[in-house]
Amino acid sequence: MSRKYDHSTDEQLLLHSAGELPTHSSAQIRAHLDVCSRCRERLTELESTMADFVEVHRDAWDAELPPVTASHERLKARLADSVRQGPRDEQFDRRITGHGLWHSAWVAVAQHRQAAVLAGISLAACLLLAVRLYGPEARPHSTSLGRWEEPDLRLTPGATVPVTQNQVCGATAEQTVPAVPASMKRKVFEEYGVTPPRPDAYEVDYLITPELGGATDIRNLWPEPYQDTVWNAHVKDQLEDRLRYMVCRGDVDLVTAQRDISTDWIAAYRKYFHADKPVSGDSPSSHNSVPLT
Amino acid sequence: MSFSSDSVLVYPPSAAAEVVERASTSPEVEVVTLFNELRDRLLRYLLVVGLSAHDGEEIIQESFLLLFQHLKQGKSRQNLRGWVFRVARNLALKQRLSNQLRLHRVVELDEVMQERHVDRSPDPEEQLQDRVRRERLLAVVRALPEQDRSCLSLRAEGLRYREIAEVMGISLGSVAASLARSLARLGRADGG
Repeated sequence: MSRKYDHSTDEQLLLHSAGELPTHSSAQIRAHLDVCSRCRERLTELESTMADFVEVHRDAWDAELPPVTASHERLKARLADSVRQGPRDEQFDRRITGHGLWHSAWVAVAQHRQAAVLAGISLAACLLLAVRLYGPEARPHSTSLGRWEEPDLRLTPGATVPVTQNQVCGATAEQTVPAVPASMKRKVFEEYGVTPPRPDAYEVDYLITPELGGATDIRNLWPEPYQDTVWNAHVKDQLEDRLRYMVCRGDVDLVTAQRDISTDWIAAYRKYFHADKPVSGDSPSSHNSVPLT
Repeated sequence: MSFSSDSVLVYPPSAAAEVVERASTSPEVEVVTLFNELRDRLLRYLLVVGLSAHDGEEIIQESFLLLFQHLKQGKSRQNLRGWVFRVARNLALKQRLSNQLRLHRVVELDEVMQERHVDRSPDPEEQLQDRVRRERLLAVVRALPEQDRSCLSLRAEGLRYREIAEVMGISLGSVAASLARSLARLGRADGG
């Protein structure tokens, strides 16, 4: 519909018909509609088109909907569980219920120490939730390349401690990579069904390296094969070196680095090395010789 | 001819009007009641943005568990319907961050329609025309940018403009502009 300055726009007509305009604006539109058949017809067209779309939309999707009964009962059971288990992490809730999933929570990391602690916990909670939501079906293991080259996110969603970029970049490797206690390693092997433990074949590795703020927490550890796979512990070490290098250069923010490495470290490797397979070279400097952009 | 809001396509009333009444019930009952009201609408919306029914169901469960905590903590009861849609959308976006949006769900929409189309008319010619028209409209929807598709489907699910604005994190004017664009495209595709 072509527009003259004195005709109502489609936006105005829609807002008016939906009762979303302030009273005085709506009165103006109504007065115009009383004398403008063209705008009346346009409004009718818009309403008719919307009504047609609603019908098509519902027809298209209604048969896709599983019966509600099972999900109704499941929700009731989960509510009962929730009552027994007590409150959830409020920081996490705020993050999900706001508009920015990652940004808003992590602004606090740099600004408030107490908030940073909660935000660190909430990252773990968020990753745990992602596991609960999407599970192994959505993110299957690549069994053709070797077992556990990527962690089982149900067991190892990743966990962080509250750190800032300055802290990450100011620390030495010795300060930032604590040894994993033997008892925790045993527990990791047990959880992954590697019994007896095989420290010769697997490195109990951090999903999010402590050099990037990863926590020494069982939810951030998994038995990563040293050899026999393309994507092994040595390759992941390359990624960790590179990500820290990029974070400290300011090419990548810390939160993004943590998120990428915990979501899918192999995909992160491909992304940051611009390579489909591991690049050669063992030293951090060689890892960082690959173009950064 | 009247052009008051009474002439508009009637959408389900806002949940906000029910808030006061609900506040007197337990959070569990309130959450389950709202779940029964919104589950199908939420799931259709999540299907439109590209999730599988399974993932959509999971997100809806999680959204209502979050709502339960929200209510238990005595937080705002204003516009709980918009609140739940916003949470579900945020969770869906998070899934997109992790797994990449599975747009094939949308691409398959035409196939879904072909398989599912209900014979509303005994006349085969009318059936065919109806089906062709529907497929044409669906093709337009499929080609819309994600924001426009979301706004349109949220409106189709009965959300008010200001609720859509809240869910999407955009202004009321942007919602109206988005819907105007989408309806204009749909209208043109429908021979308007």
